Amino acid sequence: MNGKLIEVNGLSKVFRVGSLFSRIRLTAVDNVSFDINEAEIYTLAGESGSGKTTVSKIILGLLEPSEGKILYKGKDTTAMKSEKEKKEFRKDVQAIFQNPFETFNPLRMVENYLYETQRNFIGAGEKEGSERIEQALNAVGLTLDDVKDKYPGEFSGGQLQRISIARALVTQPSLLIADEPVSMVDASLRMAIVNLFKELKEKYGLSVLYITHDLATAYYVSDKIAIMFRGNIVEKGNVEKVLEEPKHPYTRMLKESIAQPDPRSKWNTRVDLHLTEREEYLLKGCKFAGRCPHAMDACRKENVPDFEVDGTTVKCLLYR
Amino acid sequence: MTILNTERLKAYYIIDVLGEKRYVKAVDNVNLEINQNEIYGIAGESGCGKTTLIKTLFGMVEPPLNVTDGKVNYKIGSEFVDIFSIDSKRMREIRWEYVSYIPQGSMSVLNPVQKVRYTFEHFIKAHRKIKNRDEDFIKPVESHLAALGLPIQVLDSYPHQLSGGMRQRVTVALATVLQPKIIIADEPTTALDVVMQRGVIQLLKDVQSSLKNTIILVTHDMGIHANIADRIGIMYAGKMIEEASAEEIFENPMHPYTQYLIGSLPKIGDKSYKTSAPGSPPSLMNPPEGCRFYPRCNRATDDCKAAIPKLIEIEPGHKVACFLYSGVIEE
Amino acid sequence: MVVLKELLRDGKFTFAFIVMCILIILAILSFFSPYDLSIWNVVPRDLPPSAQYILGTNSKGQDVFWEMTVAIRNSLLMAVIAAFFSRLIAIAVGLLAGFKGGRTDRIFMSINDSFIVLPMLPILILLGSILKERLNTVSLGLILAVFGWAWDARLIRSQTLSLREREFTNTALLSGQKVYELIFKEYLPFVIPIISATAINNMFWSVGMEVTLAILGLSNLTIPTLGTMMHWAISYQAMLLGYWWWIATPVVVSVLLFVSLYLLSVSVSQYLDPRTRMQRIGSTKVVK
Repeated sequence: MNGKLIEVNGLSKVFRVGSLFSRIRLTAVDNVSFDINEAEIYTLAGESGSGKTTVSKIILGLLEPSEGKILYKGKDTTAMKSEKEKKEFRKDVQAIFQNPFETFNPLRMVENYLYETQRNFIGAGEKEGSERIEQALNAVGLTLDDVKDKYPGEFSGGQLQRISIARALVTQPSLLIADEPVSMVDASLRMAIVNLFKELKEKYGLSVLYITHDLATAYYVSDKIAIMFRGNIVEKGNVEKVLEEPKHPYTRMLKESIAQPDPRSKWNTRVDLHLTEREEYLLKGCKFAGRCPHAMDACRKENVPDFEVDGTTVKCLLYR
Repeated sequence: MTILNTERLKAYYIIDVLGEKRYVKAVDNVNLEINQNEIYGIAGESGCGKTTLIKTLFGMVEPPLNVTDGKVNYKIGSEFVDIFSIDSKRMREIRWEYVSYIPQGSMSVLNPVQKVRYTFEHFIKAHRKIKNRDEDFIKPVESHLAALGLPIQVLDSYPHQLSGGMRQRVTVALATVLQPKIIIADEPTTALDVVMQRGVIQLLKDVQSSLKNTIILVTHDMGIHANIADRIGIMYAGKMIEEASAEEIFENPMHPYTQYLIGSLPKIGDKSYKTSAPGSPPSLMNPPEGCRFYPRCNRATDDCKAAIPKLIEIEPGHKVACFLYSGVIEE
Repeated sequence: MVVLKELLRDGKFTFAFIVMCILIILAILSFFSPYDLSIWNVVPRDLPPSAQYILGTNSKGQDVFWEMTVAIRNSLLMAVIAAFFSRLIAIAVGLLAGFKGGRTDRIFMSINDSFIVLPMLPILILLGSILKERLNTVSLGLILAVFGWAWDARLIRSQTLSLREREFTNTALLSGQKVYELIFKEYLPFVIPIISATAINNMFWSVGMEVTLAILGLSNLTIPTLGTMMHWAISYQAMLLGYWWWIATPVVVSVLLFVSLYLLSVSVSQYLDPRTRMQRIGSTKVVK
């Protein structure tokens, strides 16, 4: 029985952009709620500018939310004050990022990060510490010898991403936040890393918050998915249900736009692109209304609530 | 009808690290034949040499890159011209009118401090005489944009006011306004969202079908190739290892590397287990002896270690460089 | 000393290094000077170079050679003090302001900008004329340090600002690093090229300032430095009177000092530049 690992409730983040004279409020994250269970891979999908990275930064504590709460293992993370609590959280929730070449300081040897993580969170002695690091590296298919005495520039993107995952595993976290972990890794090496997530979930019960715009890998690796558009979650549920039978018009458009690697199923409809993205952020009501083929007057007036349809949650007035 | 070909093309980066010369063999003995009225896709991982290859095809060769052997021929009129044997003045004339280049990252072509209109103007002025501004410049540009489905307002915008997808489409419009016979596009959709990507690819398809010219498209994204390319060439470690029609590559990949590549692509609706090729691509500075894929190949034999297989036609229209299919060695 | 060997491969560095070594040796020699350079008329005046007086004697009755060694020592010492302390201030201000941002940054930068816009030369002239006799090598070095940090603090701050946005900052924080660890382990290696290049520049500038003040007669003229030597030579009209050895010595030495400092700065910062550093990484290792 999978317990709830993390609950995100009503999360919002508003940025003030612009100069001293014309400040605009950009709602990067708008009333976002979702839950991740133990031993579950949950995808937060969306295009750039959808707010998914902002959500991950708030969960990690790198940004303060404007509104909303995050309950991790029942405790409110936004209310954590003491250093001890924060450290416990950091130990249990780790992250890896998109650009493997930027993850490590090019002027330092990569092993330093592994040892530092060990020292700061586990605090084992030298021998035991090295063993733990060796275990973490083995879990990603590497050994300490492969990694010792080398700088980031001596590894390939795929290897660096694996070392980055190993570093995150040193603390034996319960939740791994992976922000676009394979978008900069070559197609032929991508599956190795994505398969790794599956393996870690099955062997160690690790949960992964997988943030991506690549729906194909999301479909392959995750259990559940939430689709984000301009700060809102427009559809969420079981990944097979959402991606095989998308309900929200945006999800449908997204699915159709994927370049399937199959010459027999080429795109057969055309798409229209818009001039600026910022205009969409500032729309009232449903932010997709400008492009939606089914848009009604009501869509532009009110904030759209969520509806439960066949096990999936959809934020669309079509399902009222 | 061939419009561009290369013969034994070798382009190496010669770098000097603390007094020692090192050679990065980015393009190592590539022989291509690209036809009129086709979209030719070049696929391969990062570091396989594909960007260097198309830079060389466009003639953009500056130190530390050197063309150490071979030729790149354009068919101009009825004869083939080796672009590395002509003077720079002729080359400038040919560029953009005959061959145009869409680089990775659209910002580098659009001047960020000028409205898009002026970038178009400078561009066209460099190649055509503008006697009557209205007729020679404004009308052709506006009708070109309209034909491509781009709103005319983009001309009066600054690049940063446009979304990434729109910028890239404007770059495509810029590269095609002089109706070149060959368009070379380097990763035109990387860093763009799925929907914007679709718009840009759609645009390229439209341009090609209306001008009936040639597009050489480089990307590592096999989904793009599946949607737009007529023929695909797969590059690995500086060499072309397989070349066939798009259907053939996806349905009947022959080279073990291509097989790994096609087999590892995830698809919606398919949750079966996918795997990657083991190991990682070799460094172009010290490629392995013999077949470059040998260390990662699960069907390699000792022959593969000893010699490099030649890219030859195994089935009609389908070329492979692998000793599993032919014993021909590359000279 | 692998680093030294690698640096010596660069011709510019080798030349500059040799010149600096010679200058330092001369500076050390000054401790063995048979004459006390604060006393005048110990030897016959205005004698041209000879076997006995290698660089001749000056109009004050001193041996030019030994005067030069003391001058080099004092000038170098002052330059090093100025460079060292101004670096310390620049690093502290730059790193803190860059990393903390917000109000701390604004306060530091306001102070910083005030120092930049201060008209240095008039103030130094003022200080020089007030403090004249009480100025010595160390105090002049410290005063120049106070004027010399502002520009570089800003450079270091902008470097820190951009480093803070890089992904590895997040990795370091997730690895449990605290702020001071972050600044010194992660950022300092990037900042060092700027620091070393500007340290040498600072020395350059300090010597130049000192020479300027001395020629104007505004520093302690009883202490031999390159600048004061030139001052005395000019006041005694050495050029006109044909005592070329007295004016030529400090000028030639100053030129050599400037050139070698410049070349050192260029070659060292080229060596430490993260981009060339990364090229070198792995190239000195055995290719397997």
